[in-house]
Amino acid sequence: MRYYSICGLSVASAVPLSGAIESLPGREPADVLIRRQTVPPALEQATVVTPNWQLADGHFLLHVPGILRMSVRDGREILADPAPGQDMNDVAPFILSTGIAALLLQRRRLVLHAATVARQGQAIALCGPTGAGKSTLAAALCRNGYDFVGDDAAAIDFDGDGYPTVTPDGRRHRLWADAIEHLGLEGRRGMAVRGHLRKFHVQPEQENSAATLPLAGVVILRNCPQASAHHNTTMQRLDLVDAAPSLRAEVYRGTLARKMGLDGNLFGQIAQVLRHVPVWRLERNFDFPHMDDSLRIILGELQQVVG
Amino acid sequence: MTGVVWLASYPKSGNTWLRLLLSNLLSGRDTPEDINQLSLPSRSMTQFFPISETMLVDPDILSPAEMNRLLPLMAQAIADEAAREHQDFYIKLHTAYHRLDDGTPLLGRGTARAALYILRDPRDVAVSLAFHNGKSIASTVEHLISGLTTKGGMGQQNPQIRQSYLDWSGHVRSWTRQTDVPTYICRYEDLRADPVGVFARMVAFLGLQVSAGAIARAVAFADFREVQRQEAQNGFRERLKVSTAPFFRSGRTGGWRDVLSPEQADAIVAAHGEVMAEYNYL
Repeated sequence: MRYYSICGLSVASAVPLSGAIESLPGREPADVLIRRQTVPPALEQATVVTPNWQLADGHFLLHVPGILRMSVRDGREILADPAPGQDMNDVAPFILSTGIAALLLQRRRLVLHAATVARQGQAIALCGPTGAGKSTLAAALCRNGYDFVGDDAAAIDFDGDGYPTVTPDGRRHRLWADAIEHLGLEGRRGMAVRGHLRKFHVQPEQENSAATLPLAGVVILRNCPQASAHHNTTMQRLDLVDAAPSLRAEVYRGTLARKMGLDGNLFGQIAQVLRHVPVWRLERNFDFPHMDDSLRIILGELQQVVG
Repeated sequence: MTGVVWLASYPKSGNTWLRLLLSNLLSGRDTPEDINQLSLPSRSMTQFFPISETMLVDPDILSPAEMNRLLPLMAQAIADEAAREHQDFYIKLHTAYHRLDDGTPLLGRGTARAALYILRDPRDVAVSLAFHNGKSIASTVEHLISGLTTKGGMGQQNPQIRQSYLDWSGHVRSWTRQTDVPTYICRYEDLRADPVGVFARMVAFLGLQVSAGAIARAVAFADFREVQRQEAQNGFRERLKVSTAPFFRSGRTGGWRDVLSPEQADAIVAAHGEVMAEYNYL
């Protein structure tokens, strides 16, 4: 058995989760159990059936042709069934992304598709779709005094006073080769995320060690290639009317959440976040030559909330 | 009957104009559609975000071969949505018509109710493509006669999956010889010469019930001068940063005669003459 801490859950896994940071065995039983086991092609009593995934009460089934079948049940158990010839290391990224996302949604947790960094114990979630540059911006902020917290999923909870907190996703930082080169992080480069990819795990320069951090701000990333040389970055604070739907669009696997009937629940949690935390919309040109300018503006703006 | 309609073409062959025509036809409004916000019901088969939201798999961690195995299911998911919503989805594609090793079409089997395939004289394509990509005529011609195009990847506004266009002849053959999807094949030049007549035949092929007046209005609203006016005023989101001319540059047919050298034109004919002759370009 290997042990991990993912979004505040203790995870015991019979298969190695390449890309997640191993921890010491915790209390038994673990919150989540991951095993390798044959997974049936269909769910009985499915309520949602799509060409490659299905939902039933408390149960989610995913099929990625040639890679794996996966079952996620009751927020407690993930079964992975790799296709013939698939290496377990090449299957792990699917467990860590969609598997964990489905599991957290079964637990009705609010999870943003975001990389998370922190300064002086205050967390900033950097949201955006794949390719928006979340991880790259996180790495750049970590070169400027921020700590790395999480790479892809920011699970939001609320403390006793109702204030939103973030729990690290326990995943290694992942960057494309060109970002690693641009940021001069070659020495920290680890294994490829999957065998064939030019995307690698990277050891952060400064890592957060706290289990839970107060959320101080959310930045929604948008690429804007038309941005001119003079105005290549705008960072605008959103009012509540814009912030609520904008944040809903950043929920990790948001379509799955909708199909699971969680819209009402998530809106309640998002409203709770917005009572305490500012949300910015960051539009910038993603080209590396423009990154330093963008960074200056972002650092200046974030200073208002994290010092 | 509703479902998925593929709008397929090699790049710079009139695909955008076709979408403007359909969008203006189906909008039912008495003003031209905003070229940057077409109301034409659509879905994407190539952009990362809709794929990851629909298939619950991130395209950026898949190899091109793994992504290809997922695509027929993506097409099926869109077809299922179209059936559920009793809605047509008009989906732009530049990919060639490919099959997986087991013979399954990349775009799925039985997923689309029809396709419109538009092709254009590759000599005009070369000129248009050079301005669009901000490349020289010489290198664009060189690419068109020898290059297999693959597009896609990260680091752009909307990351896209890898797509293989083959070369111009391969693209035309792949779409015009497949028999999986009922396909209306149309030359850009014919649509340009008689937009009302040719577009009416396409619309009839799709089984859309519309009046002759509606067709004429759509053609007027999608007129080149109208879309050029809109682009000059507001820009066009599909124009590339590197383009050296407006997206709606000239739209002319036969403009290659003023731009290509005789040697360049001959080189394109030498490479693609067989298919060009088949479609009366020679």
